[in-house]
Amino acid sequence: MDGSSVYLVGQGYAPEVTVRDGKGDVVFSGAVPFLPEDASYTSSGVVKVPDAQPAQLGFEGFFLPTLAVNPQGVPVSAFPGAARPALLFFAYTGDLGLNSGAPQSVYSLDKAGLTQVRHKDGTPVRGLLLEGQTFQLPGGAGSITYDRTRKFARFQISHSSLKLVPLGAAATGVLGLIASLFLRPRRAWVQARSEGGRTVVEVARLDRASGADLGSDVSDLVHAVKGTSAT
Amino acid sequence: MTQATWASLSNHAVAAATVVFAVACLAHLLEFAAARTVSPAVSPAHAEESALVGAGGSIGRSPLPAGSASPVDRGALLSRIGVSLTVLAELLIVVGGLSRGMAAGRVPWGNMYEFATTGITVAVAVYLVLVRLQQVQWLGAVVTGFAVVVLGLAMLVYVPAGPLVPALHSYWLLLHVSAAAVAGGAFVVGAGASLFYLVKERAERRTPPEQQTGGYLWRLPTAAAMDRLAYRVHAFAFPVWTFAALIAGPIWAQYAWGRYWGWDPKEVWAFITWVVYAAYLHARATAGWHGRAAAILALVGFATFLFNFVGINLFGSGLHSYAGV
Repeated sequence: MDGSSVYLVGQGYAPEVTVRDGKGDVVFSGAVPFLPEDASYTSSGVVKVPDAQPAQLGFEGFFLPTLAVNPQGVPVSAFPGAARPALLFFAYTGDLGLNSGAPQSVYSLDKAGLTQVRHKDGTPVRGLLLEGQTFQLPGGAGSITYDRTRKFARFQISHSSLKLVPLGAAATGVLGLIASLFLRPRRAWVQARSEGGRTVVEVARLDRASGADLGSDVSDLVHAVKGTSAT
Repeated sequence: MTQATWASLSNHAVAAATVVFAVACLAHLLEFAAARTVSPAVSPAHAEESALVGAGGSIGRSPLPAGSASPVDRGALLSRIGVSLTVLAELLIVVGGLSRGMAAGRVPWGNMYEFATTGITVAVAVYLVLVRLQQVQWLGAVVTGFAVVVLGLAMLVYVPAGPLVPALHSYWLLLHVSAAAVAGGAFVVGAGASLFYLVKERAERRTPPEQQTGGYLWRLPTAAAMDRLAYRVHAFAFPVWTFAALIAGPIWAQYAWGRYWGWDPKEVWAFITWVVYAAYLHARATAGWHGRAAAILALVGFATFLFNFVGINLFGSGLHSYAGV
């Protein structure tokens, strides 16, 4: 559309993964958007695999565009570019909760019906995949392959044809505001009455806004009145 | 000159300005102190003396007779010293701002440190213009003291000169930020005037007229004059703030973020400030609210403005967060 504005409102990585279930069938294949969380594009996301047999599979983890290990031994992303992309995840099996009909986020797992996949000694299974690598879940529950790295971008397209109207209204409003602040309406009274052969003239001024010097105003007015009465 | 030498020049100039502001503030405080010893007996010279203070606007003119050391003369001299030092500090901080811009290759309005130095530059400029036009030297201690505090705190959020984040690349940066800085500078002076008004108004209420002599307070303008000044400064600042926060800001937001107004914390607080100052301007025209209550509203408005600048930058999140440290 002519005159439309296109905004890039977000961007990030969407690693392409393939998941096989316990039977060896490919039950999921595609790009999964991970939401960036910091300036190095450490991104978090989940992979939901409702078609896996015998139980549904879920993966929750981080995407690190440039894998590095910090002094505490924790994997971190060192650079926003995809120099050494890695996928870091925990695995879950059970019920993803998709059949209940309750809406849920595509970026998080509802863990109510899920159990974490653990090693025999009870420690959680923690996968780390570089591009092209495959991770086998213990107990023949299935596997996940990190095929390649893709990017996603979010766009907003908008068209406001009458945007000059509010601009004009705002400009008029400010002009009116300035006028109301700096133009000082004042009232002046000159009252003349006859009192025993004399003419008594009363002069008064009223300021409708504060900040004026009424004293000099009144004396100016008195001078003006005297000036006219003299001629 | 290389960028590094510009950057170092800027840092030295800002540091020097801070010191000179501190000395200027000291001079104005000594002026306070000098007035304490003015005995009521001297006060018949009151009118003549305030004319002398007024002449301080044209700095260096009408030198005092040599050897005169009466507290009144000393006060006037200290006031002139304070204003002269403020002019010097203002020149230094302008140099600091310009060289910061040269070091970064852009207008120096990209982060909180730069906003603080620019804001003080504008506030002091507004004050000095008013010294010239309205003889507001009595605001000196408050304005310079505020400058010292803000510049000192700015050191805490110092970041080296560097390029801008992409969202700030726009000529709206010039319009939006400069207008906000001008309004902010005027708010500082207006808040100072309102503060003095509250002090003076209270003193005028509580002191019988025949005792209103001697001492610093009675050499200041009347509370009514302070109130007028506060109103004029705020009346100038308010439309500028309206333009900066409610017109230029949203237009830029539309270009940069795709929406005019998104209730970002900074936007919300800018609006709160606007509402409070609008209430102040209304209150002045309302019976029962003008005078003291209005002045308090002006100070509340200034507090929300400060919170927007300090609190939201440091503790808030949102799209203006690059404006933080």
